[in-house]
Amino acid sequence: MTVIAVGAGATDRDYYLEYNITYTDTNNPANATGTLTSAEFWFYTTATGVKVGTFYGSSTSYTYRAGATIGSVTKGSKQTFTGLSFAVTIGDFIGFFSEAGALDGSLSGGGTAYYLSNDHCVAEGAQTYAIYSGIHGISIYATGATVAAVIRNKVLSYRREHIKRMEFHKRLLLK
Amino acid sequence: MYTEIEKSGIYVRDGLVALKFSFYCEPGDPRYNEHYVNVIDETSEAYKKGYSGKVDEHGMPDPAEIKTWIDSLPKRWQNNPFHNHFDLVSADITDMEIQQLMKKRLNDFGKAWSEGFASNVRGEACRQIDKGWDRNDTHNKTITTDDRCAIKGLDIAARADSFKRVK
Repeated sequence: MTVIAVGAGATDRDYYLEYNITYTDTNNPANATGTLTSAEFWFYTTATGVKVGTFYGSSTSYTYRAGATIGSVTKGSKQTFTGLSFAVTIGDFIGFFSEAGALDGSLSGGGTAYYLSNDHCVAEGAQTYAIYSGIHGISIYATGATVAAVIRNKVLSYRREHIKRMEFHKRLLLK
Repeated sequence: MYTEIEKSGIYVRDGLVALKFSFYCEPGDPRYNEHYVNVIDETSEAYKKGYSGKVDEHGMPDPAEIKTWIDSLPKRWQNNPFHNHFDLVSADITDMEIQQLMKKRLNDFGKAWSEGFASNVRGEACRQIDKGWDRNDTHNKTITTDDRCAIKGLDIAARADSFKRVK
């Protein structure tokens, strides 16, 4: 199973982003194709209406691929969310939107953050983003597994269920 | 440790209702201090007044000025969740089954957290979800229409206080 990781990391950083804006970050693009199942954030102020998603594109043109609704996120420490399921393709970037709440960002380091006003974690075509000059890395991170691993796990799960069902029928026949 | 339903994270997906559980440590629990944090007081007048410093041509604040402004704001202590988890449940789930699921998740994630692991690395719940979304568990055996799921989701959100501090 290949573990997929995308994003700069949800850490306490030295700057804070404005909200009601969609951001994507070119740091640490996805290393494989599959499903993201966990997301982490570090907000400096309490966030509401948070969505996380994967984006693809280049230069200032990015397209939302898939995502998950998170809702409110508490400020002041790394907040981890599991039980998610959204698609990621190798090379994708992580992004997010919040109605309110300032995410931590870095004034130094590599990578570039892009932004566009309003919610673009929705199915739509390519959008033109602006470079957030001075911001290098935002506090968001997501992990998951490759498609093959997810399918294999599902097959194992169905197989276990099938065996359970067969045993149940066997018991019925024996009665 | 205890868990609660966080109602901003309730939504409908794949004929099921997604519930968001937040898990908290209490004083005396292992690693309590990691999420008992000093944060800015968003109820303070200084915060409510807002940032009035320099912005660029797109309206984005000047990095140095907004940092100075935020650092100057009053602070207060707050107990944050050590983990948050989404579970998909059937629209016909009972309150008792929700409570049982919450206790099961608290046990799984709480154990991993107490043992020193990142909650999303070792939680038994994560392993089960990776193995096919627990689809054959009692809590999400049946799928139904989005309308029925939405009604159930709204009902749970309205009664979120019934699922406070589940241990």
